[in-house]
Amino acid sequence: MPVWKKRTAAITAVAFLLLAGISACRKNTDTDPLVSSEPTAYDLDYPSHFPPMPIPSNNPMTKEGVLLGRYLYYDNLLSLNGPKSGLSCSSCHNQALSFSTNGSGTSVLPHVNLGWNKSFLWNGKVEGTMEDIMRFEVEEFFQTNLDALRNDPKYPSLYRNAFGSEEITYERTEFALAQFFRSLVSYKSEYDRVILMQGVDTYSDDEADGYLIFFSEKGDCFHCHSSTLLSDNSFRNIGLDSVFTGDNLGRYTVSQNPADIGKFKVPTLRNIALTAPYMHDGRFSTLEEVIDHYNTGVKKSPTLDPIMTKPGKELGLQLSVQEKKSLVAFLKTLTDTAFTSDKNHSSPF
Amino acid sequence: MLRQRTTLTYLILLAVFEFTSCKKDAIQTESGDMNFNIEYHADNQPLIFDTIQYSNSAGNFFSVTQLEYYISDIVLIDMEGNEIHRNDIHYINPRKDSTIQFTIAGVAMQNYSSMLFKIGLNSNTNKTGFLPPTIDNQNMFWPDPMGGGYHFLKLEGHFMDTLGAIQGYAMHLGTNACLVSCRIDKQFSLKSKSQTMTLRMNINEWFKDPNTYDLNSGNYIMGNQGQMLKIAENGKDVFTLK
Repeated sequence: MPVWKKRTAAITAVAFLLLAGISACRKNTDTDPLVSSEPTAYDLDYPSHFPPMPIPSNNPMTKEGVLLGRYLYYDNLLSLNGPKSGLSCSSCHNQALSFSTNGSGTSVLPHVNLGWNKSFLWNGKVEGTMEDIMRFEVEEFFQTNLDALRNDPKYPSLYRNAFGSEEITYERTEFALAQFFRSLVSYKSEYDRVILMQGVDTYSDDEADGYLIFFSEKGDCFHCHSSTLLSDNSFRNIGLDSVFTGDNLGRYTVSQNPADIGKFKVPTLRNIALTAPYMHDGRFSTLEEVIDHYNTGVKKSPTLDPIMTKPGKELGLQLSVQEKKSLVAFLKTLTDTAFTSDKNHSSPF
Repeated sequence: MLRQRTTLTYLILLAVFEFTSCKKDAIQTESGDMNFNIEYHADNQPLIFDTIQYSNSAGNFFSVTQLEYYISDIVLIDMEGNEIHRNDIHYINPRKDSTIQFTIAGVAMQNYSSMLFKIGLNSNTNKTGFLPPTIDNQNMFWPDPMGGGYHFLKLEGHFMDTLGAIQGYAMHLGTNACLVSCRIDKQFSLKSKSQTMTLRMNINEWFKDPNTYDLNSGNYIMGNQGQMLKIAENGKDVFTLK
């Protein structure tokens, strides 16, 4: 064989091998979520009538960051050998229940639309950004042992994909979780379709009556559970008790301000039909019990919210049986099944 | 001769041009920003939130726990009576650091004889969804079933009723008829590129002049047009310029 033919064949073979190798690598990048060249911006989707979600410049949302946060959310490695050993975030926050739980005695706040919050937990113990609450969860609540993550074969590459290197730190762990939490956005309930999107869907008579009760002085729910987020993120005393001790002191345990005695965070009502039990101590098992509290069960105290003391309603809303039924019907329209079934929020394991 | 006339013409034109330029320079003034801090008092007492220690002209002993409002439709009137309009809408909440003051930007550095503004939103802007969908604006929504738009004012707290029991009160203003018109007839000047001035709100003025308002007669006014109008009328002079 002439020399030039041999050289041509050799060059062709090498080129073929190179192309095959490059193709294989690219194919792995496209199909294997654990391999990525560089972070890709995450398209956080919510309607324009929602408030802008604050996202810090030092932790922009990326697909790889959200994915890492999702793995961590569902992994009990987060708590290995710590005080909550064996638990993951998802142990108490079930997606089907809007990332809350149905356990008795304690009501965990649902992980929905938290990206718009500036205070966290029932008494607002942690204030600031999502990164701040994740710092609490990882370093105080779970007391995460980072070696557990370092020794797991999937995490180095997940961290590399999200943050550029395989180094696993508390900050990166918290940043990834913050990104995943911010991705938990709910805006596709019937309420959204009927009201906020102005007529894409229609209410039944009961639901419509309940909407009017909610957004009028009849029920007066809107003052605290306002519009889009269905919470104004304030702290209020809604008359659960007249004497306050222990955890029932609420916000006072954080602020030490006597004006905060008995005040608790106003939770979102999105997916409220799924997140029983209700109130900070889970004392109410059903929406009907909650409405009965507002209807006839309000207890007075010096810090009772002024909204609760309208003339003629000093001891409650005084709704009729039918009005209570309608209000429950409306509350059920706040359920977003697209959110509770979204595979992008589900366990990746 | 022709050359002389031409030269004279040119000189006259040049003089006119220069005169015009100078006159234009003479009426141009620099502009700056007026930054308004807001203080809160109940008559002569500085407002401290959450403490029942203030007394109004109706004899109510009360506290303030929440105060939010909008300032809009600002008009500055100069010494010649010329009006400078600013359409900015400012959300104010003295309990939130980011919203305790507002700025009127780019106004002429000169003397002003008075200032007008509204507490609330005019009928063109008082429509659900008109304002940017910030959390603050959304928390101020006036429900659509009750007419829509926004709360103009939320003034809430506790007071001692006639039996000495602690009750709550909520003075919520909304609807176009309850827009509050304020006028401050006091000369002031903008003398620098950025100058801070102080407005003072006297909480007690919400409860008097022209209507002495007793919280025992109605501690929750939202939806009661008659009571809202009384408070709105009183609001005309809640502000003074320090």
